[in-house]
Amino acid sequence: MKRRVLYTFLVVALGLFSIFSGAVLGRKSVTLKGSDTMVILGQRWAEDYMKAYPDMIVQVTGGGSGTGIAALINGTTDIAQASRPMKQSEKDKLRDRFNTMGNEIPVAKDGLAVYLNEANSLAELTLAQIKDIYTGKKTNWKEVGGPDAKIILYGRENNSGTYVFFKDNVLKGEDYAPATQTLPGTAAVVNAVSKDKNGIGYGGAAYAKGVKFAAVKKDEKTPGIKPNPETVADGSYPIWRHLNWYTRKKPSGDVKKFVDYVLSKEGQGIVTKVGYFPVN
Amino acid sequence: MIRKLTVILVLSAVFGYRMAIAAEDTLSQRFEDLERKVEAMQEPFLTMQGDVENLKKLKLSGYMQVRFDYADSAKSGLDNEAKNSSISAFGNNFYIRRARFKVTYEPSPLNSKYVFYFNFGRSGFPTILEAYAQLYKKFLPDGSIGADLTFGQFNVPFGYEIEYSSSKRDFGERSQAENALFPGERDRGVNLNFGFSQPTLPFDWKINFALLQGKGIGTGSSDWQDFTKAKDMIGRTRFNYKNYYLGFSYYYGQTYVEPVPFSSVWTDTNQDLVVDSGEVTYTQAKNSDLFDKVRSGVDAQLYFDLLPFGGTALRGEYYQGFGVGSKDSRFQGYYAWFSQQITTKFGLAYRFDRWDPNARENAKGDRVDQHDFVFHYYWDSNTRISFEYVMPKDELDPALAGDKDRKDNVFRVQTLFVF
Repeated sequence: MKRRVLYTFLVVALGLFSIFSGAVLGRKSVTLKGSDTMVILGQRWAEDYMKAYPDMIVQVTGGGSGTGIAALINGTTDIAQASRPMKQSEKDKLRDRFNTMGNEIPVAKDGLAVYLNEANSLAELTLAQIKDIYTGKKTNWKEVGGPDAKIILYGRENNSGTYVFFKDNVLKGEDYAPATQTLPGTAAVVNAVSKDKNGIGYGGAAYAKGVKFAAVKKDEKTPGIKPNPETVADGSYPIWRHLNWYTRKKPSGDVKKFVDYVLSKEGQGIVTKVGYFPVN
Repeated sequence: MIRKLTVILVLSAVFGYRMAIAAEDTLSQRFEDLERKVEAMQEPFLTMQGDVENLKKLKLSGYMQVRFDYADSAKSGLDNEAKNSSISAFGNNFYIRRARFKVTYEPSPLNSKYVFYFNFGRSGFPTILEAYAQLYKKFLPDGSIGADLTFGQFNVPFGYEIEYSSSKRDFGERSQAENALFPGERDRGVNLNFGFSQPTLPFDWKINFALLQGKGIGTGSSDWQDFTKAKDMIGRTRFNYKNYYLGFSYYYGQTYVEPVPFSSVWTDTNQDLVVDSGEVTYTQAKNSDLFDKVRSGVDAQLYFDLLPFGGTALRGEYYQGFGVGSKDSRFQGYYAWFSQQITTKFGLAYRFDRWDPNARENAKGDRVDQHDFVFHYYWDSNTRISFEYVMPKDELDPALAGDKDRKDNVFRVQTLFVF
């Protein structure tokens, strides 16, 4: 009889352990997944945070905003990094699986730069011209005041938040021209434009090495503005966005500590160092 | 000597220069060759990229529910057959409740969708659950205001439960009211849906209008035929503000009852081949009948975080109306559903579900109150194991001596695989 009681107790204890090990012991690590635009930022935060809290493990991976949000819905990441807002269909999936509406935390601001090759004589583009170029209505640089040469379009893959943001806000929902060459990351877009004198690309301002930024004009009458901390902060640069974190529920425990750190003066200082703009 | 040395040096320089030019030529040629090879590789790569893009338009998804039911009725025999059709009354069984496979084709640019949805259920025979074409129209470029039109066989746009997939629901079956009112949850017809949804705003709104056959699916071999002239109509609207959802649904249709011709049946009881008195049974002719079928419903859902455990959902729905089965029936049903997520690994839920097919005051003994408890363990992102206890309670009829609650509780273990 005693043995039976003991076995029952052991089974119950094991069950309870398995429950709480997931809830308590397993929380010593925090995982971030998603936006390629934000992957360097996430890594820098993680390195700095782990120096301050050596018992914590913060894992950061990219894959694109869509991939990060899918991982949040599947329960395989604690935080999704996204450079675009969550879609309604994604919110619905999260709600149906976890009874939660998701929690959006803006962690940085980003000016979305339009990259040109340094040899390109063109310096300015209006929003309408950028839209016409990327939707395939204008295919030669001379149509927008540049040299007589075919425009070569570089862009991101459709799981990228940058792709979605650019489509929604610059192309106003229209589709990209089929000639757009899709590349797996902002760094790849910058690299392609830096080697192609007729190339044009778009992506985060933090990645601009070997290319120049086009000054963007809201319309023909307004001056061209390049993305920098001042123009993004005051909204005069027309293509900017929040870089967000998404959690399933309001942060608690170790996730909350990490969020608090990222929004602190130290965390926002790293935002500036990486080349983005603080939210406060 | 100096002259010889000078000649050798000049010859060496000329030779070296020629060699250097030759090497440079070779290098340049090799670089050009390499460039051509890379360009040549780009062509099949672009073709492959195009093929992959085409394949991405085709999406495959589905799920499977494998169960073991341990039923009280199995111990008590068929006399205790459950009143509730969704309860297994015939014993303890391993079975596949749902095995579903969906093929969706979404062309690009995204302005239409085509769906084939198959079910391999308890019978093992495949049936088509859904087959429809859906056309989208954006009224604003960002898609915040848009509409879609669906033709074919699809989910009936009434209430909350139908649109909420069985692959997500906490409980093995939908509520009793939904099972009684919408057999198969699908019908054939056309559905127009308007929607407003903007990610930066905290609310969204949907409105549906559908014309349907009205007989559902899986109700017989002639369920595709509707003898009523007018089609059944459904209107539904659903409003969402942050974590609050509220929906109203209204259904108006008609039920056609086939005429019964006059008939007489002779049973030669004493086998004397003579029509004796009492050996003929007469059935009087009945005209066909057409009566209204009206259903209305309201549903609400609320979601909030119960820290540090996880998300909590409260859901409820109320149905009422008349014209199910007979002209005079007036039904009423509702459920209240509590669901709690505990970390990403566990979940708990409870539902109280009432169904009264004849809600008139003088009708007793046909109402069923059902309590449903479930515990989930999420094995991984694709698999959920559930332990459920279903406890129907029968309304007792005071006019019937010895009337008592039937033994029809069920303990269920279910594994759900989703892909």
